[in-house]
Amino acid sequence: MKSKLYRLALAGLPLSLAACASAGPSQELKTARDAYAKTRQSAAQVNPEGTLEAGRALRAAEKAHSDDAGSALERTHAYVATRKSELAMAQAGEARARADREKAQQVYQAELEREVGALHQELQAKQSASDEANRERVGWRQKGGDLVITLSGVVFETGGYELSPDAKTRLDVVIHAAKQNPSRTLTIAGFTDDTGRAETNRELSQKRANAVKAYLEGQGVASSRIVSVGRGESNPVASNDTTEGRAENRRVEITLERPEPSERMPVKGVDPEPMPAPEP
Amino acid sequence: MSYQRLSRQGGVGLALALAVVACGGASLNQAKLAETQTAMQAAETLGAANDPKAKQSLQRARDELAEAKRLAKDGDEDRGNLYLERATADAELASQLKRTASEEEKARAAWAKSKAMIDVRAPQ
Repeated sequence: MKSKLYRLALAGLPLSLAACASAGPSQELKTARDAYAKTRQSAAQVNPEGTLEAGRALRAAEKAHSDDAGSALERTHAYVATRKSELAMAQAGEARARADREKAQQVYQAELEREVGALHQELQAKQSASDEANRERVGWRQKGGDLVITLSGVVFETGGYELSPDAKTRLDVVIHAAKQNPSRTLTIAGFTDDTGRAETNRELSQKRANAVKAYLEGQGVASSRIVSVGRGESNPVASNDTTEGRAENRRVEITLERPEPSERMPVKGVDPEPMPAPEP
Repeated sequence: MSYQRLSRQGGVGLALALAVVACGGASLNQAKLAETQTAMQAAETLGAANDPKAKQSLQRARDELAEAKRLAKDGDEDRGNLYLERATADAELASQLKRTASEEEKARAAWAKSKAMIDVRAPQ
């Protein structure tokens, strides 16, 4: 159907209609013809319906020119025909932008899959390494059978608990990991630097943990799997005497906890493969 | 269709007709005038005023509607009706330009998110 409409749009409008009129075309009509020619070239394939509509409008203008060259009717219909051509071009632009967005989403999803796959491989390789070595990695470490993800740096501003766009992007990896491992529960612990009172910091860290929990729930992680807790200024990972250190301490740690042995499902890339049952 | 709904629609139509008379559009083609006003309302609701190209198109529509009413008031309804056609075309274009701009913005945001994901994976 679409190819039929495209052929009709290309068959379009013979420009020699102008020769039938006794007087030359108005400026509006010339503009309309140019606009339609551009539309046929750029938009006909993506938007055959819009291009046809523009062609119909131009035919009305050409008829008005044939009937009474230079009339107000010709100029009006030509004006409308130009707008119809511009409309068809804009519709084609919308369709292209939509396709572009879908492609970007596919790239994003592919990157997400690759990221989680790479992280599982890293954790498996580092199972026997020390905590000191693990600290050099990008915010991930293994603690026993648990996976601990740390979001620090630009996550929250001092005194604030709204997630930054960068933090949300990093949390998408956590969300994907949580969905891939449905048996694991998540404990979200919020931490602050030591600016201000301890009690205020504890309340702020709770709000930060709650903000992360709310974001994960909004992205489809079941509320029943998530616990959020505020640890305040306890357990600093860097010195609070520097700006950089305070930024590191303003962090959220998300632990994907290994379930109890009775409720465990093996996690691909983390747990060893089960031994085959012995022969009877 | 219920009597209440018919009454509501009749009431809305009457209100629209009264508004048209009050605004000096009584001698213009009422169907064309309603079409123009609907198209302009749609563009405004979409937020055409927030995009430069769409805003320009919407302003042209407003100017043409004003010209249509002026011509009708001066007794030139025929030319007035032609201006309504122009106004409708510009208002419809304003809506589409806004839709296109919104979709382009979404595509840019999606690519920025993909790039941020790639940057997150880079060694720090």
